[in-house]
Amino acid sequence: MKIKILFILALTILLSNSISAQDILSKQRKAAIDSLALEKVRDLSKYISIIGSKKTPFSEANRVIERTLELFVEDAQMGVSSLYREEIKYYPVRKYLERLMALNYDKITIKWYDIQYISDLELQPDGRYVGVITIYQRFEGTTDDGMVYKDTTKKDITVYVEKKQTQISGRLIDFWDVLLGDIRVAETQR
Amino acid sequence: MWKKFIFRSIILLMAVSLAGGMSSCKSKKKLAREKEAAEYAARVNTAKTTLLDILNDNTAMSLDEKEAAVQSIKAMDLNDPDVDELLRQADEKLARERAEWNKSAMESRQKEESALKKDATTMSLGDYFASISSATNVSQANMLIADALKLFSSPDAPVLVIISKEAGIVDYDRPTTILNYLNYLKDTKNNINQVEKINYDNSGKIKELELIKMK
Repeated sequence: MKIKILFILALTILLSNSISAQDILSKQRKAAIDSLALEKVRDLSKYISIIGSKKTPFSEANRVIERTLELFVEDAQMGVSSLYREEIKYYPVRKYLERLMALNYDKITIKWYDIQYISDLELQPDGRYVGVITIYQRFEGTTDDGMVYKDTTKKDITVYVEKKQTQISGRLIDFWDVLLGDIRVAETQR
Repeated sequence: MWKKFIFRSIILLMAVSLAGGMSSCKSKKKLAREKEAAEYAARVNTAKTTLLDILNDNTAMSLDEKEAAVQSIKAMDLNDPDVDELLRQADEKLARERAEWNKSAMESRQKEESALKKDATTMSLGDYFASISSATNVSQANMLIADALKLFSSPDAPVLVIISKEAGIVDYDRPTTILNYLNYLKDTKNNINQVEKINYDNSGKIKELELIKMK
C-alpha cells in the first residue's frame, strides 16, 4: 500500500514538474503558436506543390525535399489514397515525396485549401502541445495524351509543438519547435 | 638790499612751490597704487569666484565657455597662490569633462553612423526579401539570393524569427540560417517578417539577423 502511494506521489510530482516547466501562455502567446503551426502546414503545402510540379528543376526539387523533411517528426507517415482503390497506403515522408516527384504525369497541380484546426493545440503531460489540423488537397494530373486524373482528399495532420533551447552566438535561445506528425487520409472524393 | 630781499623771496617761493609740487606727486602715486591694489584684489576675487563656480558646477556656462574662462584667468597672471591652486583644480576638472564629452560625442556619432548603416541595410535587406519572394522564376530568385548573401558574413549566419513579444517575453520560431531563410522566401513566397535587429562583424557584414513577424 505504502509503495502504491509513493508511486502515485512520484508520478504526480513528475507530471506537474513537466507541465510547470513550460511557460504559462497568455492568449496572445498561445495565438502566436497556433498561427505558427498553421503556417508550417501552409509551408508544407507549398513544398508539396513545388516537388510535384514537373516544371521544378530536379536539383530544386531535391533541395525542397530536404527542407520538407525538416518539418516532420522522425518516422512520420503520409497517407495516400486513390479514387481507383479503397485501400489507403502509408509511406514514410521521404518515400512519399520521392514518389510524388516521380509521378507519371506530364503536368501536376496540387493545391491545399481550407487549412484549419479540428483539434486545438492542447498541453500534454509531457510538456508538448498537440493538435490536429485538417486540410483539403486538390490533385490534378494530366498525362501526355491528355488524360486527367483529379481528386480531392481531406487529410488530418497531427501537430506537435515543443519548447526547446539552442545556443546562438553564445546565447541560449528558447524557441518553439513545430513538428508535423502523421498525415492521415480522412476521405477522398472526385 | 631790496634786490637781495627780492632774490631771496623768489628763491623761497620756488622752494615752497617745488616742495608743494613734490608732495602732490607723492599722493597721486599713492592713489594710483591703492587703485591698482584694489583692482588687483577685485580681479583676484572675480577669478576665485569664477573658478569656484566652475569647480562646484554652479554655472550655466558650456564646457567651451568654462575652458575659455580658465584660459583668460591664466592670462591675467595674477600670481596669487589661492588662484593658482583653484586653476590647477579647474584644469583637472575640465580635462575630465572634456574627456567625457569627447567619449559621449564619439559614442553618439558611432550610434548615428550605425543607425544610418542599419537603415541602409534594412532597406536593402527588405528589398531583397520582397524581390526574392516575388521572383517569377527560380533562376531569377537564385541570382537575388546570391546577391543578398554578399551582405552576410556567411550563408550560415543565424536568423531568429520572433513570433511573439509580450511583457518582456520573446517567443522565437526554430532558428534557421540566412541561406535557408532566403530559400524559404523563394519557395513559399511568404514574406511576412521584417527586420528587427542586425548584428555586424568587424568587417561590417551581417553575422546575425533577428526578424519579427508582421501582424
